[in-house]
Amino acid sequence: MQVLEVDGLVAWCEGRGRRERLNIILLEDVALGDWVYAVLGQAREKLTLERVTEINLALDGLTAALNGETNLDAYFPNLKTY
Amino acid sequence: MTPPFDTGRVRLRLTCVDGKVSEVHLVSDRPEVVKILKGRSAAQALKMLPLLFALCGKAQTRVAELAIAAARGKQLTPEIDHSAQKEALREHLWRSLLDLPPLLGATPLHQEFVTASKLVTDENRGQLYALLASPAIESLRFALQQQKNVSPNSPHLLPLLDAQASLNEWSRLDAAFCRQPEWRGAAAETGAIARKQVTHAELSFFAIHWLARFDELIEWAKGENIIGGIGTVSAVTVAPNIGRSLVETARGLLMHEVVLDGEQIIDYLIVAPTEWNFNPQGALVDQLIGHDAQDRDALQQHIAQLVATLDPCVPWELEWA
Repeated sequence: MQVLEVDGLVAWCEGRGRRERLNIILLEDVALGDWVYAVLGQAREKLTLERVTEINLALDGLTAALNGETNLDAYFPNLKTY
Repeated sequence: MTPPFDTGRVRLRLTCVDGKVSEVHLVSDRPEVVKILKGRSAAQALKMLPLLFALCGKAQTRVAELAIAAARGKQLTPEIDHSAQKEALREHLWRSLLDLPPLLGATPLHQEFVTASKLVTDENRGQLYALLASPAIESLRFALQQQKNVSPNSPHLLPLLDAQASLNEWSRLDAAFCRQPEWRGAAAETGAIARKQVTHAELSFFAIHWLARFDELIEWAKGENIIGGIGTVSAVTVAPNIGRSLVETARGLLMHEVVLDGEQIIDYLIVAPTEWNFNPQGALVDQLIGHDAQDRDALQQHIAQLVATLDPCVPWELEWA
């Protein structure tokens, strides 16, 4: 999720279709526009934009797999060489 | 904007008759992450898992590596994985210093949490030990020790198991077991309380769970590394090309089992602690059946306490039937 507003130990963040107030106590120097991995109301780690893209694609890939899609290569472009 | 992703949730539906809880329908409803792993190469799976698990990510990745290695014949006798152990200890700190105080009518210990987390990361055990003995934290433990047991039910705990010993209990895992795991035909709890095998009859269900977490933090701070304790990993070759691995996370036992055909994953199974601790016949239901339901707000608050005590790795919701 992307940080929209920081207020002390919490931040309003938005991503994957939802807006949420996250506890940011685990992270240092959170700024507007930063990307964070959100779990159970907590911002767990700061993410680079590249990592955000990878995670979003992976979650899209998981959703596709759960919907019965079998060709998932497009969701994991960096894994083709493995 | 990317579409919403449903992490799943623990759902409770309560039926109340004559002012008491008469029925609890409990479902742990989470996406089957393993579906994305089938058909991939082992190397791809190891790259995918950290993208999909933010919670216990180190433990999930480590047991995946170990299960794949075991499928290739490389077993591991129980040992501490320090990375998974620190990850689990930080989870304990979050629960114990931020989530627990409001449940006891106190304010979250933000500064203590930040300091303690850093001490775990830096492996500064001595200073953590001193911090855990500070008045603010000691008062939490004291408050827990005053909570006497009023329930006739004692916890049914999963025993300590390593990967080899797990074969005696479950020769193979399957999807039904992953959704609703049982030990010897019954629900069993995993987590700090099971690792400590705590069955104090004199303290409340709530207290013994939270004290067990503190005990694990204090033990680590004292310099102990208990094989079988938090952060323990092990792996076993179940059969040629089939590997199983176990890790003791903050929430409890996490098991992976993989079936390989050469480099390709044919099947992958994960049994997570939330499925043990939120079993439809498990501790939460035991604690709620027969509970006074005349004051719904009070009951809802009690349920929130119980759920926080058992600590699911996904959100939860309550519905009144």
